Amino acid sequence: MSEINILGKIDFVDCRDLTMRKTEGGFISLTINEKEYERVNFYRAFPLSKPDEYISVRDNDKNEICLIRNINELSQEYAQLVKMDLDRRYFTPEIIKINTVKDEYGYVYMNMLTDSGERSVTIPNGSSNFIRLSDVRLILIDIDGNRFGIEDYLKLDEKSVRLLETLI
Amino acid sequence: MISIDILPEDFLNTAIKDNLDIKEYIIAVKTDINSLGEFAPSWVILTEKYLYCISEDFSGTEKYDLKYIKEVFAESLVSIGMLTFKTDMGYVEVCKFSNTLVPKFSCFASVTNKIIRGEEVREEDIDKNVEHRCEKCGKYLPNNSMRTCPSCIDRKAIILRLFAYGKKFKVQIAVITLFLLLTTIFSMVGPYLSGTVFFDYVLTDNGKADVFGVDLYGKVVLIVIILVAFRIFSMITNIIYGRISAKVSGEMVYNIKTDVFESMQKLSMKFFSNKMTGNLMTRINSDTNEILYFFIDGLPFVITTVLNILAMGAFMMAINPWLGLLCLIPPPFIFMFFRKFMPKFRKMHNTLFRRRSSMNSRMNDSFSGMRVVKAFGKEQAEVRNFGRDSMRFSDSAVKVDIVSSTVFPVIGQSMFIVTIFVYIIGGLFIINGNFTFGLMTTYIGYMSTIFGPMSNLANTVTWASYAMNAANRVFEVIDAVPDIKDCEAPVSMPDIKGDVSLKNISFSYEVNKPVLHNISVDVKAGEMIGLVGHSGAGKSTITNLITRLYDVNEGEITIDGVPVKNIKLEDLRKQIGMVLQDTYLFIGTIAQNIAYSKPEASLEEIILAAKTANAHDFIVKLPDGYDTMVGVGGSGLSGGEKQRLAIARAILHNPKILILDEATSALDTETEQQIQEAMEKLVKGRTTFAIAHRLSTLRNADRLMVIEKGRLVELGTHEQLYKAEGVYYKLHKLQQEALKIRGVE
Repeated sequence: MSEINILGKIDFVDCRDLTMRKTEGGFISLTINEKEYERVNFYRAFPLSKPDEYISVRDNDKNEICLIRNINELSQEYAQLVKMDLDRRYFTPEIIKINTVKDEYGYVYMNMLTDSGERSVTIPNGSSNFIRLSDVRLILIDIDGNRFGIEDYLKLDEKSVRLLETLI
Repeated sequence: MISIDILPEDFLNTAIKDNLDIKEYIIAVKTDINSLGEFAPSWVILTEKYLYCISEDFSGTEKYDLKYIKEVFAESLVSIGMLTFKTDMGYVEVCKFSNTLVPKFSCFASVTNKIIRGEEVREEDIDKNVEHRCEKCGKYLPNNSMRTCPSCIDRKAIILRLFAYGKKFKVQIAVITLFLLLTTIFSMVGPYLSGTVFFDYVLTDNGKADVFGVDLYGKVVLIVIILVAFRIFSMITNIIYGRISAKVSGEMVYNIKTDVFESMQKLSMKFFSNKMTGNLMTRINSDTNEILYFFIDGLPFVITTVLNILAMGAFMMAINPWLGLLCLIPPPFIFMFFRKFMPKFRKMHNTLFRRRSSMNSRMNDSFSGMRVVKAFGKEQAEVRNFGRDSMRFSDSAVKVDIVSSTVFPVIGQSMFIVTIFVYIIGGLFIINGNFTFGLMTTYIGYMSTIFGPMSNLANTVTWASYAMNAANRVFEVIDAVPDIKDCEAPVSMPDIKGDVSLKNISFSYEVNKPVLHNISVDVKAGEMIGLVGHSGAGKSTITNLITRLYDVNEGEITIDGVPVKNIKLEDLRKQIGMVLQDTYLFIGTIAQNIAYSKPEASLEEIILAAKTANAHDFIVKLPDGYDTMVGVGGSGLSGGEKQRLAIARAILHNPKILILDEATSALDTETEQQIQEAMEKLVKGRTTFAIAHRLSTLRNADRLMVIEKGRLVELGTHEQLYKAEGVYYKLHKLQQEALKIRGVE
C-alpha cells in the first residue's frame, strides 16, 4: 500500500525574488514578481520556539504575500531589515534582574531591570502568565499583554531566582 | 484645551524656550518607550498645525505638519503599540508605546483624526478613564472596575457603611457585646478559680478565708461544683452568642447581597459585557461571604483577644508587676514574628496552590481527553507530562511542610521557655513568701490564653484587609449608576404602533472601534426586515440599539416618531420581544418559562401560546407536561424544543416589535419546518427585525438590510437585491453552492 499523502507542499518564496527597501517612515516596502507593496509587515509563525523561521510576509491589510522559510536565506542586508521589523513587532525586553516582588490581592506587582530599562509591572496571579518555554527559559506576560523574556532564569542573581521561584 | 495627559509646566517652559510652539496644544499623551525601544518617556503633542514627538529630556524632537497627514493610526502589534500616520508618500512611525498605553493612544489617534478632518473635538471624545490607575497613589489597578487600589481604599468610610447595615439589629448587637464581655470575664475567672482559689483558699489552711465571708478551706467538692457550673454557664452563653451572631450576620449579608443583586439588575448590558459573569458571581458570593466571615469570626475574635489581654494583663501587673512583665513582654514579639512570617508562609502556600492547580488541570485534561489519548496511543507521554507537574507540586509541598514543621514547634517551645521562667521566678517569689502557688497557676493559665491566639491575631490583620477590599468592591457595584435609564420626562407609550426609524446612527462598544457607521432606515409598522451580512458585521448590534440595551453614540432611533431615549423604559421593553439563538430557560416549570414575560397569564393562554408555537405536542408528551422542571440551560430539551418555548414566550408577550436573532439556526429540517411555521404566525402584524445566516429563512421578509463592516450597503426586497447583483447576490450565490454541496436546498 502506498503512503497516503494529502498534504501538499508549502510554497516558500525564493528569497532571490525579493527586493526590499526601508522607507523614510521607518517601514519596509517590498517588490515581488514585479508587484510593489508600499508597506509590508512580518509575522513569526512560531514566535516563541522558532523566532527566525517561517516568517509570514503580509501586506498592510494582513493578507499573506509569501512565506520565508528562514531569515538566513535572505541576504544579510535584507535579513537585517526583516529582523528590525520583527523585533519591533515582538518587542520582548530581556529581564536582567528582579528587584521586588509583591504578591497582593491576587496580583503580583514586580519591579525589574530589563535590557530596555527599569519597569514595574502588574501580573495576574496564575501560572498562565508565566510561560515556561523550557526548564529555564521563561516568558512573562503582564496584565496589559506586555511581554518580558528570560533566557535562562537560573543564570540570574540569587535573589532574582529566589523571587521568581515563588511565582512559577 | 483638553488633554489625556497634562504637560508638566517645566517641560512646557523648556519647550517654548527651545522655540517649540506647543503652548496652545490641543491634546498631549506621554509614551513609555522611546524610538530605541528603551523604557524612557516621550511626549506626543498635537497642536492646531503640527504633531510633535519630543523626548522628555529633549534629546530628540520630531515635528510633522498636519497638512500632509491623511490619517493617524494607533497600531497594535504583538506586545507593543505604534503610533503611525499615512501620507501620500506612505506610512510614518511616530512613536512606540507599551500595551499598557493602548487605550490612551487609541483615544489620541481618534481625536487627532477628528482634527485632521476638521471636525470639532468635544470633551466626551476623551475617555477620561483610559488608564486604570489608582486615584490616590497612581498604582496600577488590579481590576478595571475599581477606582482606588486595595491599599488606598478609605477603610473608615467602608467600616462605617458596613456598620450601617447593622443598625436594624441594635438590640442583638448590644446583646452580642455584652456576651463578648461575659466571655472575657469567664476566661478570667476560670484560671482564677482553678488556680488561686483552689490552691490558696481551698487547699491551704489559714488561707485568706473570707471570700464572700465564706471559709473555703477543705471545700473541694464545692469548688469543683462551682467550676463545673461556670463551665456550663460559659457554654450556654457561647451557644446563645453564636446563635444570635449567626442570625444577625446572616441577615446583614442577606441585605448586602440583595442590594448588590438589585443594583446589578438595574445596570445596563454594557456593565455585564465589560465584566465576566464569573467575576460578578464572585462579587455577590465570595465578597459578601468574606465580609460575613470577618464579622462573624474575625471581629469578635479580635475583640475578645484584646479584652483578654487588657484584663489579664492588668490583673497580673497589679498582683505582681515583675512576673506580670515577664508574661507580657513576649506576646508582642510573637505577634511581630507572625506578622513577618505569615506573608512568607502564605506565599509558599500560594505557590503550592498554583502548582496543584496546574497539576490538576493536567490530570483533568488527560482524563477528559482519554479517548483521544488512547486513540493516538499517547499514554506514556501523558504519564511523563503528569510526572513533571506532579514533581513540581511535590517539591513545593515538601518545602511548605519543612518550614511549618520547623517554625511552629520552635514557637511552641518559646512559650514553654517563658513558662519555665515564670516557674523559676514565681518559685523564688513563693519561697520568699511574696507570692502563692495558686496565683502562679493562674498566671500560667492566663499566659496560654494570651499566647494562644497570637498567630491568629497576626492573620486577622490580613483578613481584615481582605474583608475591606471585598466590601469596597461590593459598594462599588451598589454605587454604580446605570447609564441606561429613563430620561427626566419619559414619554409614556403603553400602546405603540411599531414604526421604527433609524437616523444616521453610529455606535461603538469600545472607544475607537466603531461597529456601526451612519445607518439610516425607515421601517413601517408590521414590516419584516431581514438583516443580512457576515458575522461581526453589526447586525446584532442594530437590534441591541433598537431594544435600547445600549444607547447610540450618534444619530437617533425613533419609534412612532418618538426617540427611544425618551420613551419610558418599562413601556419600551414591554412591547419589544426577542427570540434568540440560545434560548435561555430559567429554573422553573415549562409553564413558568412560557409565562416569563406575563406571569399573570392564565393556563389557557399558556396552552394557546404553546399550540401556536407548535410546542404543545411535545410538552404534553413529557411525563410532567407543562409542570416539567427545566433549568440551567434547559437540560433535557432539544435545541428545537427550547426554541419553540422561546417562540411561545414571545407569542404570549405579544410585542409590537419583534427581534429574531438567529432564531432558526442549527436545527434539523423537520423541526425547522415546524418552527418556521410557528415563526410565521408570530411575525404577523409585528414590526420584525430578523437576523439569519441561512438566507432562505428570510424569504418572507418584506425588505432586506445588507450590512457590511458596520455600514448599510444595500436595502430592498429579495428580488431587487438579487437583480442588482451586488453584495446580497454574491452572498446568496455562495450559500446556495454551499448548500448544494451538503445536499440541502
